[in-house]
Amino acid sequence: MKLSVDNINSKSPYWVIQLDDITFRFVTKNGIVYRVGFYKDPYFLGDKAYHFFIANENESFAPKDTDVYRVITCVLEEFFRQDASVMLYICDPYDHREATRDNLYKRWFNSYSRRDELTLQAEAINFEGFIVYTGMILRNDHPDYDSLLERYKEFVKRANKIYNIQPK
Amino acid sequence: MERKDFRQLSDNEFKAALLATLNLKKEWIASVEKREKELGLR
Repeated sequence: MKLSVDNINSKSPYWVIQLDDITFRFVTKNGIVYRVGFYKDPYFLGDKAYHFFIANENESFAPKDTDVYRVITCVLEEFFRQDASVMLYICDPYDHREATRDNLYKRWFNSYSRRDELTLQAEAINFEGFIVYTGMILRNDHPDYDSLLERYKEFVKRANKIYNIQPK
Repeated sequence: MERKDFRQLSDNEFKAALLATLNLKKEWIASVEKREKELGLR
């Protein structure tokens, strides 16, 4: 998979630099450096899915900036322009802001103008005392749509079964 | 960890894969920093 930085920059409010085929960097008006990109899932869905990550350079507090949200939308739009793209996200639980991050993904999805073309399946997993919020987003016309959704649900069920979580 | 279908993993292997998945962001950041150095951005 190779994403086009030209497509991203045609709409992005900040100038985006391409670090590799699927990784990007940009600097905000506040001087915050962000990295955003995808990483092939090595364990659960094989090479059919990519984890999405975003991080500012120092993983520190950054002032609210709606243009960051717009850049992310540009990157995700470019990702979902690919036919067989499946995005996974896991909300980092270690600073106790995982629910906030999960809400941001859901807000992004619900406000995305082309959400009718995509499916979001979001689930929570209990992992050794942490609630880990995860989600999978894929195009509705993905050739493996049914099997990927089923596999994701199986993965969540297995994880919760291991930790003896009873379904609600 | 060798890539295997998660349905074929034992519970311990599954837990290890889950833990590794939770640490993927650190792995990703390390790869990004390496690439930034190669490009002279750091």
